[in-house]
Amino acid sequence: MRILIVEDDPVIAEFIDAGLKQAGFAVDHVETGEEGFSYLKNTEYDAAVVDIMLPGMDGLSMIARLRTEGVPTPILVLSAKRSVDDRVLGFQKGGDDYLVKPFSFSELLVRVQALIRRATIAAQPTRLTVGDLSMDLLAHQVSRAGEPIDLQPKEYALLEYFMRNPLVVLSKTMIMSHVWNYDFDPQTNVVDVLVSRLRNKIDKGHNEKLIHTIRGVGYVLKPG
Amino acid sequence: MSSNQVESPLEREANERPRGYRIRLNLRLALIFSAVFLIGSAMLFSATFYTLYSNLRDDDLSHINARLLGFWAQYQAGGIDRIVQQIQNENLLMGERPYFVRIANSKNNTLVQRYPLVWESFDFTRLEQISPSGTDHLITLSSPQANYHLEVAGVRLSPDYVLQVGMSTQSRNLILDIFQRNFIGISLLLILMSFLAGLFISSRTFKPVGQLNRMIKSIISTGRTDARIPVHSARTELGELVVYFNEMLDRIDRLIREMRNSLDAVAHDLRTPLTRLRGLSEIALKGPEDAQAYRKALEDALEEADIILRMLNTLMDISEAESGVMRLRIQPLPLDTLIEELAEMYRFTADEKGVTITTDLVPVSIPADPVRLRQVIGNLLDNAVKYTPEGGSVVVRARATEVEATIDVEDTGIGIPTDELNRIWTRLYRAHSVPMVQGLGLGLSLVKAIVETHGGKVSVESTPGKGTRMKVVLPLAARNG
Repeated sequence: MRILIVEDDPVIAEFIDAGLKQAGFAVDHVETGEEGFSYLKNTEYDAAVVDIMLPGMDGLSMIARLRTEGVPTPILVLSAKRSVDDRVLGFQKGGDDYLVKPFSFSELLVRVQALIRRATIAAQPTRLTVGDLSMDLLAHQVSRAGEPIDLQPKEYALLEYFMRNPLVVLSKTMIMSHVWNYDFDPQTNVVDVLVSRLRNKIDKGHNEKLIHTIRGVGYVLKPG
Repeated sequence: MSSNQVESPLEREANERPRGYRIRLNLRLALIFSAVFLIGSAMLFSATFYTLYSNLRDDDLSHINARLLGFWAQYQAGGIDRIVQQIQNENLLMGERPYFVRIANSKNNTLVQRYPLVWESFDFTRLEQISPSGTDHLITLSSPQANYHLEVAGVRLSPDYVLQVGMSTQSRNLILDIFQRNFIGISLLLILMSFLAGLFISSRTFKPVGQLNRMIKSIISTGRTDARIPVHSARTELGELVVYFNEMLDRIDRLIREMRNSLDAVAHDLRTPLTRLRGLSEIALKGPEDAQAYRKALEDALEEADIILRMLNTLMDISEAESGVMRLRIQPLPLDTLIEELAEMYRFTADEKGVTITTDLVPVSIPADPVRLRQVIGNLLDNAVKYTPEGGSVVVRARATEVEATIDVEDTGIGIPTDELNRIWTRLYRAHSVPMVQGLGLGLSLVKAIVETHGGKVSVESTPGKGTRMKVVLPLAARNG
């Protein structure tokens, strides 16, 4: 999997570059819209991460030019503006995605993976497995070490989110917007409560804990 | 306008372009004014000319008739000989008007004919070819040497004789000529005057437009929005335009001031958590070189950064809502469903605390921004749960009348002291009695700002120790703009 980063801020670029490489991607980095355009036009990338504010041609113009030239590479747009302008929403409708700065790296990773998943027409799995935990997506059934576990709808939604992104640290904001679909900060610890309930059902009575808290960042599902 | 103002070439260019448009508009109005006047004059001229012409013609005809009657009377008295004698003795140029007279036989051959010498150029023999008619139809004779005609009327004296009398149209033409000349002269003068008057009136009328142009130009070049255009009369449309323009300037002025103020407030509110963030890093660096301690400091710093971000977002929301620049995506929302979903979410937190959330809702659809309305109700629920001790309860009610919907969130919490009731809507207010409750202290300011942007109102009733009731009233008709 090959990803292009088009970002002029060296620290942010380095941070994305290092993270994606660690997650197993091959990463290229350019600093301007013009370079980004020619890289994406001439090389086949699986996805691109593009900042809106770039010297010279800005990110959105670059994407618009790519699209008129028929380049379909899925793109994650990085924006420093919180009130997302309608142009970005337009790109989102076209299958691409956007992320507002500042963001946690895990959120970027989850979104890039989702973009690639959407773009490649792979067979959708009917069963997810992490360690001895398994989820049947068709029957909506979860079991650990063969023992069925009864989950409430929100708990199921959260676990599915975890299992689709194993080893990725999910922040509270990500969980909030994924499970409840709320794009605002509800100033409540509802995510912690939900995670702790899920943890009770998944990990209680097992030596190997699957749900881990990463202080200051979020939660992660990983065996061991 | 002060004429001693020194203008840069750029300003002059900017000044001249709009003025050119204004003069063109003036000129066009004055021309239209003159054209209308011209058409009116032409119509008036035609009507007057026709009336005058008919009158003069009737007058001429009555003169001819009088002559005809005179000769007819002679004939009745003395027969054809008398009348012939009369004609031969008559001094044709005497009397008030010269005339022509002819007697013809039944075959229309001239027996006697007399006319003044000045009419020699007229071809009288033509009358022998035209059958003589009565007074109702005139025969007209013309001459290449005269700028007037002769009009001839006839009467049958007996089966053997026909009498014809003719007179010139000279005097009539003269009067009509004078009338025509005078009328056109006066009309031209009046049209010129109407054009000048039109120009004058439209220039005066467009004077406020000129002032408006200059004002806008000066605002564009200086960025100062404190200037106002003097209002001469608010009763005309242009006066109204000036009033509205001034009001718009007032609003822009207020907006800029409020945005400046809220920017100051945001900067101020962010300094505290930024100082904490800085402090955390500094303490860690000054301490012993211990990986565990560093890790702890980094975790704290990350949490602090998240708080700063949340605070910034909330402050931006409040500022946008308060200054009126918040973009609302208003759509009809089922209020009861929306509250039920949020109540379900907050029950997770409430259950942990042993607080129950119940709802009492009527189905009602209200026009609102979904994200913003969720923020409002979410914040109220969050507060209610936070400040309600174990075993307490929170009730959310929604009611509707024809014009408004009322949401009220009532808890059995610690309540708010009466002297603090007014301050709960201000930024960074936190209940003094419970310092350990965490939060940004921005929730209620945000609630108030968002509700007011939707054209609604917030209010609170509270009894310390017994509970608080927060009320939000939202209009059912979407606000314009």
